[in-house]
Amino acid sequence: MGKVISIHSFRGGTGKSNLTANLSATLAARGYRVGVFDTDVASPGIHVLFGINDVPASASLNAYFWGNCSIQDAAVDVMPALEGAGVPVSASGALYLVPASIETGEIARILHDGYDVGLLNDGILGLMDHYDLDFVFVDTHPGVNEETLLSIAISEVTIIILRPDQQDLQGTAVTIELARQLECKNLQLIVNKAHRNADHAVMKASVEQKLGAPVIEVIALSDDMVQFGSGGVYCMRFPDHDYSQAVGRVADCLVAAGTASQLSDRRVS
Amino acid sequence: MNVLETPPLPKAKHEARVLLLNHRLNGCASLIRGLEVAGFAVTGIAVTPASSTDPVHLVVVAISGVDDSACSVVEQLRQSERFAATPILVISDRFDPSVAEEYLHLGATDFLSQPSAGRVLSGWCERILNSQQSDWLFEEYVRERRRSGAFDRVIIPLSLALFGERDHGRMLETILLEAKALCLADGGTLYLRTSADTLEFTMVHNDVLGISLGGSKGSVTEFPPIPLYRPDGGEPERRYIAAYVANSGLPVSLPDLYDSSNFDLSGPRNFDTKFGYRTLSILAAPLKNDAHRVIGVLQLINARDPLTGEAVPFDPQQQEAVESMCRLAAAGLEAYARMQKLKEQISALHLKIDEAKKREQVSQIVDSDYFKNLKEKARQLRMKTPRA
Ligand SMILES: Nc1ncnc2c1ncn2[C@@H]1O[C@H](COP(=O)(O)OP(=O)(O)O)[C@@H](O)[C@H]1O
Ligand SMILES: [Mg+2]
Repeated sequence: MGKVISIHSFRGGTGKSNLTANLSATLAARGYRVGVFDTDVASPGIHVLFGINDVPASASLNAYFWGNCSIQDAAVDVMPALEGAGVPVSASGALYLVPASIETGEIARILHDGYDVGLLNDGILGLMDHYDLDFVFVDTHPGVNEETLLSIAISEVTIIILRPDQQDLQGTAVTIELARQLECKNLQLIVNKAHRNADHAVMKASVEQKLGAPVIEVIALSDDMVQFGSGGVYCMRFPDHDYSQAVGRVADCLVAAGTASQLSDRRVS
Repeated sequence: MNVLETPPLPKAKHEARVLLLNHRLNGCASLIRGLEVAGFAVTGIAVTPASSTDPVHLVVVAISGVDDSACSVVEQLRQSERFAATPILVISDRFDPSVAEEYLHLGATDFLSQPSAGRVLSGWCERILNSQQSDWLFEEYVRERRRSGAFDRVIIPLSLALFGERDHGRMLETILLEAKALCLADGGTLYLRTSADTLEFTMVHNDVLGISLGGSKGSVTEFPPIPLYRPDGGEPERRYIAAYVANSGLPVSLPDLYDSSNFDLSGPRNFDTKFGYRTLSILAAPLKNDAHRVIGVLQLINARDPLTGEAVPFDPQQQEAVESMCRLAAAGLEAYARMQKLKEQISALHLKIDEAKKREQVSQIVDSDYFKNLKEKARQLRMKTPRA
């Protein structure tokens, strides 16, 4: 059975979608089989990173929720988008994205009606089963709304991203407390957009002490990333960049914590 | 700090703009000519910078002696957004180390004095025109200083801006190797003081023996650190040369090591026996910080006569130059330490969680029926999931 990992942040613009895309691509390139669900239905965006400009109304997460398609139908194979970007991609890897609809009417409808997290859970398990996935990432909607809290509750690992800023810190503290009350056990933090002059070890210790949860990585604010402006999956283009290296370490962490024996045979060295 | 964050670099001569702030330097006209010959267009001459936004690639502050107004101009330039990363050269009609130190401390990139200022200045102009790396500049700088006969005076601390803190190890190594080269010495060792009051071997070089340890090659594990206090009673250790230099703050120069009865020479003797070497002359000088505390010791052995190649004593001029280089190294180290501290301050996040507010925010959600409902839903969802 694969592992469900939700990527969350208290506020938007924190770097969730970029991290989700880069992390999933890194794992897929290494030979793992990966799925990504865009549950940020209010402001979907991760599809753009995988080079998808158009999400057909008949095949999206929304359509699946409304019973208009199966979860497999909603999933797009985005592996071809990774190939040819520069980084060698393992032939045994797989990457499927379930995008959310970008059509305004559909966004309004799902915001109004909400969605059944039970269905989301079924979809995740269904896709995992169908494609034999090792990891499923859930790119969540920021904040602490019901659907998001429940997605955290159904994940084995929740990664909360925060920036070194007052509002993020306060909001993350509240989110962590709620997640604990929902009996989420595996909560991990990533600090993104750290000051370029920051000492990462000190920042890690400081955030861990303030929030009482492990920080698996501190990622610097990168001018190159800003310039790249979500123009693709960054680490597939610039694998040696600090950002990509940091994502690589997070991937290592997830793999190490996973059912290693089951996963290892898939990994192509 | 980043010297390279200046305006787009000029591609051709005379596109490089210099702002000249004149605080009563005699012979300013010849300075302007010098700048123009070196390839700069002097965009303005004033006492303080005007609030224009034209790009400026270099600021020259011309002074005569100590000048409070010039000091505060340098300080303001460094604090301003526009000039925070622009090289600032202070040019004075005479050389005075304490004045130089003051300006460098305030953020000047270099302090030049006439008459040798012209040649060093052209080195600077070259750098700005060519956008070369700072280490290249440093080599050029040392060479230029030596060529212009300036090494027998004082080699002024370059501000950290030239190196960037990440290069502090290389900076120290460069200084050690330059000091060694200056005296044609066989060997050079840099010791740094640790928080445990010992001197740690940070870099050890000896060309004759082909030894090159520490620095960019990692830490030196071959030699144990030298304690600065005696184990019995805690008296300052003065028996070993490096420890003596560290504790007294005074340099030591010996023409023939083994003629000296004052020091315990077991260390060098062991070294010589082990490597089949003969240490003859030795020069050890302290690295002192702003508070005159010794933070390290630079030691050279066996100066060579440039003509005969014989091991000879270090001459007083060499000693003076080496002491100056120690000041340079100490300034670099201090700047590095300051930068580290700054980094830690940034990283420690002076942000606080408002615990009362957090409790209130959490309880508002948690105490509601909505959340109890949510908890139940979460439990059911998890039960449905066949996960380990
Ligand atoms: N480490 C980083 N350095 C600089 N920019 C970043 C970094 N991480 C993310 N970004 C940028 O921040 C913006 C928001 O990122 P995104 O992943 O869309 O956030 P979210 O999904 O949390 O709203 C994007 O423009 C992205 O390129
Ligand atoms: Mg997003």
